[in-house]
This record gives sequence, C-alpha cells and structure tokens, in this order.
Amino acid sequence: MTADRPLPDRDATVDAQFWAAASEGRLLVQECPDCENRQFFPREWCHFCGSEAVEWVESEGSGHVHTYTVIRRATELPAFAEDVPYVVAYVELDEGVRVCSNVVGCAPAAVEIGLPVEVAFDRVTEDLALPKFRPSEEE
Amino acid sequence: MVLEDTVIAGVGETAKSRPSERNDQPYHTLEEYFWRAARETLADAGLAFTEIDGLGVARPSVETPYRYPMMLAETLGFEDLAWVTVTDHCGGQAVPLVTQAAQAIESGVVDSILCLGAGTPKHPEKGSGEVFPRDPRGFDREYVAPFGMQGANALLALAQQRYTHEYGPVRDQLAEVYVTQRDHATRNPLAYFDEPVTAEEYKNSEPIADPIRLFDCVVPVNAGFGVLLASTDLAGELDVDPVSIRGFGHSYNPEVAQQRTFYGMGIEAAAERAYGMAGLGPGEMDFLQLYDDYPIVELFQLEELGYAARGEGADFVAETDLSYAGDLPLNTGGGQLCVGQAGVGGAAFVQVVEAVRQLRGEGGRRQVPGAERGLVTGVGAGQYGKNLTAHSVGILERGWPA
Repeated sequence: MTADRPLPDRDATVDAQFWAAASEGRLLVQECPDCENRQFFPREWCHFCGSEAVEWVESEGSGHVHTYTVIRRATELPAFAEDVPYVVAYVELDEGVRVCSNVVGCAPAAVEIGLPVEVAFDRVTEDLALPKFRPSEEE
Repeated sequence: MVLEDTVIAGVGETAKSRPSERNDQPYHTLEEYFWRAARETLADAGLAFTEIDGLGVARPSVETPYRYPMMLAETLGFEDLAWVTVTDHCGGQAVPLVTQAAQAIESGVVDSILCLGAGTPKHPEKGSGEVFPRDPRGFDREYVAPFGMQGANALLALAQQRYTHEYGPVRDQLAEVYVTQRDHATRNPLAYFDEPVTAEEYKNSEPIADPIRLFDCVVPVNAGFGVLLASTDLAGELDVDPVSIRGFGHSYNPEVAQQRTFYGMGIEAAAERAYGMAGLGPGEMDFLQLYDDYPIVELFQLEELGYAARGEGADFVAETDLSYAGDLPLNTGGGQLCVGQAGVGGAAFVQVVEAVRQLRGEGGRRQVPGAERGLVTGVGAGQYGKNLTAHSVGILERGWPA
C-alpha cells in the first residue's frame, strides 16, 4: 500500500539519526549550544551561526497547526490518491520549529490554524515510522 | 542608468499545446521547441544563426542532463559561441537569464546573446512529461514528500491559507485577477485559453488543495520562447524597435533563518534593487507583468512591490482596474495562468516577451495605450517551510538606453 510512495532515504548520516529515533517513537529537533537556536529540517551544522556543535533535542511532540491544506487531488504524487481528502500541515512545535506532516485522527474539516496537536507515529514499514499529528487530548 | 550598451532586439514565442487533450495539436520534442523559438526570435531581430555569439538557456527540468546548454547549442547549429550561460532558478528564471546575458554584453564579451526557454510538460501518452523539479536528495525527499505534499499546488495552498488567516478573505479579488487575465488571453492569439470565464466559474472550479482550485493553478503547456539581447552597436545596424533595461534586481532565499511567514517572498528586496538602479518607483510603471503561477502569488507581489501595504493587496485589487486599458494593466497577454506555463524553462518568459511586445506597441487588441515602461518579475523555487525563494524584477523601457 505504501510501496510506491516516497519514503525517506536514510543513508545520509544526519537523516538516519532522525529517522531511527522516529521509528523508536521519539521526535528529534536540533539545537545549537553556541547560539541557542533550534532548527528543522536536520543538518550537520547550525544554519543560524554555522557551528558544527548542533545537538539533538527530543521534542515533547506537542504544538499547533501553523498552516494546512486539505489535499483533494493527488496532482504530483499519485500514490496518495487513495488517501484524499487528507491534510498536509506545517506544525509549529512547542520547541519553536515548524515540521511538515499530516494531521490525522480527525476529519479534515476539523483542522484549523492554531489547532493544538500532538505527535502520533505512523508505522509505515517494519523499521520506519513517520511522525504525524493528531488533535491534542488536553488543551 | 547602468545598462547603457544593451537592448532587447527580438522576441519569439511558439504556439501552445496540450496534445493529450486536443489531439489535433502536434507534439514537438523539447529540442524542437527550442529550435522554433530560436528561429522566430532571430527572424524578429533580423539575424542569422551564424551571427550569434552567445547563448543563454533556462534549465528546462530536473531531468535535464548536465552540459545541456552545449548539447543544445550543437543541436540548434551554433558554432564558436563566445559565451554560453544557463540559469537554474526554477520557474522564475527568464529575468535572471536576461539580466545575466545583458551583463555579458555590457562588459564587452559578446555582441549578441539569444536567451531561450522551453518546456514540454504535456505528453500525448504519458500525460505529464515533466515533474515539478524537487531536490532529489534533500529536505524534500526526507521531510516533505513522505507526507504527500502535492507540489506547488499544495505549497501555495499553505501560503494562501496562512495569509487569509492573518489578513482576511481574498477569494473575490483573486477571481477578479483571474477573470481579467482570461479576458486578456482571449485577445492574445498565442494564449492557450481563448474563452472567457466568469468569477463564479473561477470560484466553483474543481478543488485541488484547499483553498487552491483548478483555475488557481497555472496551465501546463508545451511551448518555447526566446529573447535576443544585442549591443547597441549591433542593434543600430538592424531594423529593430529596441527595448532597454532600466533596472533589475534579484533576491534569493529570504527568511533563511527559519521560516517567519509562509507568504514573505523577498521580491521586496529585489524590487528595491531594481527601483534603485532605475531611479524609479512603483508609481511610474505603465503595466505589470507579474509571475503568476497562482493568483495569490500576484497578490503577495503587489504588496511587496510597493502597490499596497502588507495585508491590503486585496483592497488594492478591488479598487484598481487591472485590465489592459485600465489603471494598472496586469499580465496583459493572459499571464501563465491563461497563456500557459511551458515547464520551469519557459515559465517566466511569458512575462518578458509580453512586456517587450507592449513596449513595441504590438499588443493588438490588448495594447496598453501609450505604454512606455513596465515591470516584469520572475519567481521560483519553493523551499522548506517557505513559498518561493528565487526572485527577480526587471524594469523595461521603450527605446534606446538614455
């Protein structure tokens, strides 16, 4: 069912660490000890100050919807056609970074900007889970 | 005046087709569109293939092989070129290609450069011959595509959604933009769409990615375009109606230090550079040819180019007649939304070629009365958590450089 969908290529070192953690149910973001900024997507360096000393921080997994769209037609990635309508969102984590993901566990019409959400890992293969988000149970 | 030795001496544009839908339309290869565009552009300037000493190529798609410009030069039949350049700025690369080429002429390296853009996103059997040029090894593959992001349609839906959350509804005003451009397209024999639509038809078109609907999306077509730049010395020997470049500006990757907004574009910085070079401001333009992959992108640009404060673009559209004969003519040939978008290679050429036609008084039934000066833009390259990140502005003027 997910065979022809794009999946992360976990060969690259920094991405391998992110996806290994996600597959264990942990959502990671990066923090720079030198300038104290956090960043997403992961890289080997700090994109604010250029430091090589970036560290992983485990996210609490809670945040809110910064913006979203309800996909009605799979124009570019046809493998997702069976899922429509589905929600693609950028979630602003409480740690201060924005993560591209899906909002699941509710009707698309229930999603709005500002909706509190929490991470819900979706196991797509034996060794890979995607961090998705569902409406928070506590607000 | 910075570009004092360079003019645009010719333009060319092929017919548009989507052969999978209209089977009477022929399918040409990408190279054939380049050739047709080259032939028309050179004929427009009155130059032979053998008289050209520079070639600029807008990268057609992500599948384009490296060394493509040299392969294309050989395929088209150019020999001993003194300058070959290529741009790789996604859909908005026509303006940067033209301004790069102008620099080569200005510095005396060459006397003429033929800038070409073409694309064949529609194939009669395959349906879609090209894909949106995403980074095959990067953030998109790792952190975007696995969640089913559907290309630019979804990306601009995210931007429009956030913008309307902060500033209010824009649907009626975007309808106005689209309906106006459709009317312009009916006046342009080379536009893909030749029938008008109503605001209701726009607003009720098929939902694609909320709030983006079908008529918000650019129409992919197969086509080729060309712009010929020449030194004033060379152009003076030709029978041409010259157009000069009064100013230009570029801006790449605004808001790189984390995404602040989804709708901030950085064309504001590009415009500041262009206005500064030209010594002109937004009030001095006779028309705008704005990159229009989506109507909302035009609204963002109207704000950043200085026509309306942030959040007030919709009010500006409501108060302004954007038709070819109106207060501030916008995308007078129909724009990419209605002329068609020939992949990322041909995309923004729609804006540049139409601007030149208007300045030469060749707009026919869509001619802007007394057009002396206009502003063109190019925008491309969606990035992680931002909409589009490669921005360019050109200010073009009728006649020889002052």
